[in-house]
Amino acid sequence: MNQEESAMPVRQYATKKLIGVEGSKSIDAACQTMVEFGIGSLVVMEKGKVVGFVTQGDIIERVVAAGLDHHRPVAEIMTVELVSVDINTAVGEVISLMGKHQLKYMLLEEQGDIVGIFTFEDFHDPRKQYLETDISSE
Amino acid sequence: MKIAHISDTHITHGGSFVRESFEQIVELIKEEKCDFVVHTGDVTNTGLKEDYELARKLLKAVPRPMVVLMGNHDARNVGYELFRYYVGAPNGAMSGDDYAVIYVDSTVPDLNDGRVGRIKYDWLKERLKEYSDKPMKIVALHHHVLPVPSTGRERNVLYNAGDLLDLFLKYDVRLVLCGHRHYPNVYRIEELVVANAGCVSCAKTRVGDANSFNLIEIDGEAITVQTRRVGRKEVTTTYPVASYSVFVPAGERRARIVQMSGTCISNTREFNRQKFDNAVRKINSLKPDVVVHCGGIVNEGLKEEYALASRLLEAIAAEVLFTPGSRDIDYLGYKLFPQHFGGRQEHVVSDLHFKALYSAQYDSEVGVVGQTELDSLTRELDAHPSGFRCLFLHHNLLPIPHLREKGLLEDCGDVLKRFCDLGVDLVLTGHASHPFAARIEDTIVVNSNSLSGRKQRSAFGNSFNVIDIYDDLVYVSEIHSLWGSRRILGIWRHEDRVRGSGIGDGSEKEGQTVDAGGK
Repeated sequence: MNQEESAMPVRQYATKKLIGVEGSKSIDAACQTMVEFGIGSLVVMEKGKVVGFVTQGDIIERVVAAGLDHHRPVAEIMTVELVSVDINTAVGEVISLMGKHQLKYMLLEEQGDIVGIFTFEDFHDPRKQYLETDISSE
Repeated sequence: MKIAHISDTHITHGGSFVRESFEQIVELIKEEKCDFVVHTGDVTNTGLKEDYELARKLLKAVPRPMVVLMGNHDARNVGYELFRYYVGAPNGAMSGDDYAVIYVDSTVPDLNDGRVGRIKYDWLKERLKEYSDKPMKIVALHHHVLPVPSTGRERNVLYNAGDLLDLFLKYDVRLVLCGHRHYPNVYRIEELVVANAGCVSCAKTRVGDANSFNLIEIDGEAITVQTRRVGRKEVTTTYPVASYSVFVPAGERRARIVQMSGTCISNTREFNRQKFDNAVRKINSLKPDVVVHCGGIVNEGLKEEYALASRLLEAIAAEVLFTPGSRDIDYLGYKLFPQHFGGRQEHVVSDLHFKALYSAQYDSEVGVVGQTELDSLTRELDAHPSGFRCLFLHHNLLPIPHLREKGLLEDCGDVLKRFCDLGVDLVLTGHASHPFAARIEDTIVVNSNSLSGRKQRSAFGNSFNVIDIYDDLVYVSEIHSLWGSRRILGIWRHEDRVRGSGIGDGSEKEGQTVDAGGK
């Protein structure tokens, strides 16, 4: 990423439509939602507000590996201490913060509400496509 | 906040300038006590010094502050030099506590076409960055970003309209103001309201329309666009200012559609067989209810390519519906397409109705639906108003990023408006080799990238789309042809929105307040 790109607000790269699950739903149901929509994370909602976040990795670590009953509410295993930044923050700064906190994603907020998510996938590297083209041409 | 949006005054000595309309509209604006006025160009009719001098005199009567843009008529006869002297800078920005208005020149000297060139595009992006934290970001430019109905053949759409639309959506611009087409129209695309103003004082109106301007009111809840025509009742459209959405799916999946285009099947390197084979395997594993191929089936309309395409596409387990692209009807393709793929097709899955439209023309990248077909379609859809209605055609209805806008239908303005008014739920298109999905009014429009053609434009790579229809929402994702990786193109709730935007679509709506929102 060049200097100019890294100064752009993360708004430009964000996914602003998030899929969520009610905190009272079972871990099973959350997994089914992830599979159905082909996604690796969900925001957890209570009374119309984002109260947590859960990823595939959380489920492997906190449910499967820990032997937890997967019928329990997803709210019991969600991450509640959400790391988020303002959606106007420069994308370079967001990436630095993700590195600092060892996060693969960053939640984005605007005027107090979670309004989007930024992941490395959102910042697609065209070099990946060149590689793909080479591979599929062989 | 109240904005008077005026356009296309076409001030000149005599000719087509309607001075009475100009004076009446100025009086109406004075009565409204607006926060500011935006003039989206074609201030003068010819760009000549005499016109600019008259314009400067007449525009003194318009309340200030006023932002004035240059239109293609103003740039004529090297009028772009005079504009700076008589009017001011063609690009700029104005901001308040919670809003910013960015205005950008889209003219090209001596052409009616529009373009926001590379330097201006970067300048615009910088301004959007600067004002990123303003909740109400407004952009004004002369040329239209979206096709406008009742204006005849689609033309002079901005050269890079797709890039601009993409930029506006990424930066959460809430309102775009345009002129140029002399017909008032308003659409909401995603959360962006795009308002076209009619002409204030030019005799060249469309379909017997009156001179008009738009009065726009914005509060924390809604954007309301009122078209005020001289001597006629106003037409009002209100769109709630929607917040960002978290979607909590609650319903069952009713159908899964796979959308593809640009398979470009041939024995040449234009066709990537591995991507095709991988994509077909993935499609079969997804178990779609129906597959829609939006054209570009073969690379050229040759006999051996059609024979190969028929054989390869048989590997798709689900029913496949086809509509041809321009390349499919080249050479002998006009005969081979109906032989191999059955010509026009309709299909019903559960309560989902699919219908193909044939938009390809010989030797032309531009498509057409045509008035006769549009009227026939209207009667058909009116007769069967229930269920989820999906139309598919090759040419795109909305401008697509990263290419010169040339693949739109020539009658796109009318087709888009008719689809929106009819409440068509889903329109699938397959031109331009770049994915794009957006909801305009109540209609979701999805364009697919090339599945296995060498020439494609997306940094994501060749792909096809999956459209899942649930009881409560529609979910569109793009699947990489080679790897099968997925990314989201859009999610929308089934809406309880009131259909129709209420502008220029019949006298029965005049004077009503049409609430076209409701998220």
